Amino acid sequence: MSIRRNAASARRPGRSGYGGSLQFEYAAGFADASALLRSGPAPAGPDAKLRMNEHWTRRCLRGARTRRGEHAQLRGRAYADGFAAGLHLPKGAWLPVALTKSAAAVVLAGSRTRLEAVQQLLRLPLQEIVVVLEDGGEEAFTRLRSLPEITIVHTRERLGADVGRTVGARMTDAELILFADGETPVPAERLAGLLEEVQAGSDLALADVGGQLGAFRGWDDAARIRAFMNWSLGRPELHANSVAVLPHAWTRQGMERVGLAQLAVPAMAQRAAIGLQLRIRCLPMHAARKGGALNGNAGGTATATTGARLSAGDHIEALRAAMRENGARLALPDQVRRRFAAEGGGT
Amino acid sequence: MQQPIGTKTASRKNGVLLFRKEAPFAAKPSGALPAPAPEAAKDPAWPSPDSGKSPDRASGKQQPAPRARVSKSAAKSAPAASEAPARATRAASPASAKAARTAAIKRVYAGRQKQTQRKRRQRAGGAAGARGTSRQALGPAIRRKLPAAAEAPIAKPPMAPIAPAAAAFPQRAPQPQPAAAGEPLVSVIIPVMNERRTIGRVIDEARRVHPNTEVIVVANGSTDGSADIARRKGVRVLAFAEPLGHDVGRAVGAKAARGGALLFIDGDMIIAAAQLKPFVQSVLRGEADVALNDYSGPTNKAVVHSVVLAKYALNALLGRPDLQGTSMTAVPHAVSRRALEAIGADALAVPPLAHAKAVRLGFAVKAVKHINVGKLNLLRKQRERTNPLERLIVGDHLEAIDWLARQTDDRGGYGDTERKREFAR
Repeated sequence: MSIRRNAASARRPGRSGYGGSLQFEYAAGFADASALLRSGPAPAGPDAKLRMNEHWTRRCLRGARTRRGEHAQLRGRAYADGFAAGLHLPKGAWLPVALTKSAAAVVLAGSRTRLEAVQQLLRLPLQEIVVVLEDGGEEAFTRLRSLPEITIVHTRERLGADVGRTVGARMTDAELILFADGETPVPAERLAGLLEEVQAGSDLALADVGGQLGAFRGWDDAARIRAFMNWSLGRPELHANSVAVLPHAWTRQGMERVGLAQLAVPAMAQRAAIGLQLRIRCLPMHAARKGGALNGNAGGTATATTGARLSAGDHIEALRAAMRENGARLALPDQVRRRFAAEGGGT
Repeated sequence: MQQPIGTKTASRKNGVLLFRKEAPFAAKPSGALPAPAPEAAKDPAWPSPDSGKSPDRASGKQQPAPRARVSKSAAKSAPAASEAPARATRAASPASAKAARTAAIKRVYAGRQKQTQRKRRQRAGGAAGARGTSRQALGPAIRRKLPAAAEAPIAKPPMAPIAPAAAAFPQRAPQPQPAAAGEPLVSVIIPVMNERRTIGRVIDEARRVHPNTEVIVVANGSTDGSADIARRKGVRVLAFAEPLGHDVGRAVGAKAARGGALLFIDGDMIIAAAQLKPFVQSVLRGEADVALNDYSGPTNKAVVHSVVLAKYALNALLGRPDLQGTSMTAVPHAVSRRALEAIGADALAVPPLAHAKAVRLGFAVKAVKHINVGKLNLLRKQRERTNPLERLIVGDHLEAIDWLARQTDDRGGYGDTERKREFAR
């Protein structure tokens, strides 16, 4: 029944491969690209992607349609395919995100870097992709070199956990910065959600790991410590979500208020972001289980135990920093105990 | 100086009943009554409520127990008789047959009446309201345990003279802890604040934990006669007129304790002696310095209570994730004297701090036995809804982390030498 009605009312997929309302988006993309071709020389390489995104953003703003969410992404893909077809480029690669600000990605990579992780980022309208490759070896370096349009920061020695974040962030001047893990590919659709969130006004968009962690009894220690710190700092609704987890996205403004150097110790950055009352949003990554697991520890390079020890140390350091400002009990004073009685003072 | 039980609200009928049952005691010469000595005389080391702050307490009396108890407790506990006549006089007036007996007692206790009336006026406004429901709900339970309460004075052990908690235990765990001559082997510390409904039975169970046990009740801010119930049981009572605050009673009790193993329980939670024994035994046998309740709270959900979260996080930060959510915050737990002396009795006032100290100072901290205190604690949970303790307890955990960091470095001893921070500057 429904099939027949669809067949009668909606447009059937044509050469574009898109049916229904998506066909309009495809056609619109094709038309925009054709107009672009008529007005001047064809843009090439990354420029073509950014031009496409520019047109898509304009179209979104003009149309005032829902710019976020799953359906918006579907329409965006149809538009991008149409645009690519109009420019005589292969279809199916781009995922537009309605952005009025420039965006970049910092990828933390080690010797076990997977190209798919970076390839997903290449689908996004990013100005720049900085891959910080620590002690990756020649082989990993060569593999990454095969990818177009990326900047590789290759260090012979390990910078140590998360220092790459600061190094990478210093390499770019984009307004929105996406931090991603080079060892765990995350589909571009989910990363786009983080970019949309910071574009929409949040200072920091975190991946919500709640779905993956499940019941508390199955959590790892690092997650428990993260959740405890958030609670203690007065943000219980953040649960175990933190900048310690990749991926996440910052605005430059938020990042600079926190201080780029702080990024090297994620828990410190998290504390500072909460302390400065930045707008932090958690993006439910409900589909995250289908893709690669989100990575809980620094750069994915540390083993589980060293990762847990590092995380514990980071969070103690962060809590201590908060305690220096607000006292040992932070905002949770003890107003009921007569401690002098315990110390032998009596009543 | 005992309590007029039921003076506040007892009806005429009750008054008569009370009087009739008390009469045999009252008729005796007052010297024959096992009237308890004033508290100060019992335990000069500790301030008594007689030194009192409030006018209420100036008389040295506890607040009267509510009516629900009158019929039985007054009948069976001898000291209660002393105050009964104040009520009985009025009650007896229509029942002229009892007038003679009434008059006799009236003479003896005439002075008390005035005080009682004054107290009654003072109390007219308050009380009853909040506790009323639970009292009614627990009515049967109270009655059930009363016979035991009445027998207690008979089985009262001789009070040992109070000695300062000194180096009576040179032996240290993990060796088994023998008792020094005349010293108790086990000290059970029970902080109490208005836990009249349960304290009697809690003491009974505590006594049975070990043959050589001293029970220390730290009554602070009790206005419901909890301290008197404890005193009638013949245990050591450290009484404070005002509330000391959450868990401070543990520290106060631990300071006064002389046992080689200290068991901490709550006055509002009746746990059978058989359930308590494993905690004491593992400390006495030297298997553990701190024997914890293997209870981590409900964790089969994505968002747990903040206190559960704090306990898990603290144990993880202490490098003891195997302890899960067990903590010295939860009762029952037992501590060896060796551990107590190292961590300091005053640290027990902030249990997570004591916990962190015990773990960090290398004592054997173990979860010994599972007792679902969450289940036993339902009533208190309700109280917490109006007076949340969660923020206090999470703050305690932060204090523990602060201590931990001050002992080591800003990273709590978890270095990050591998992290080349100079590149991040």
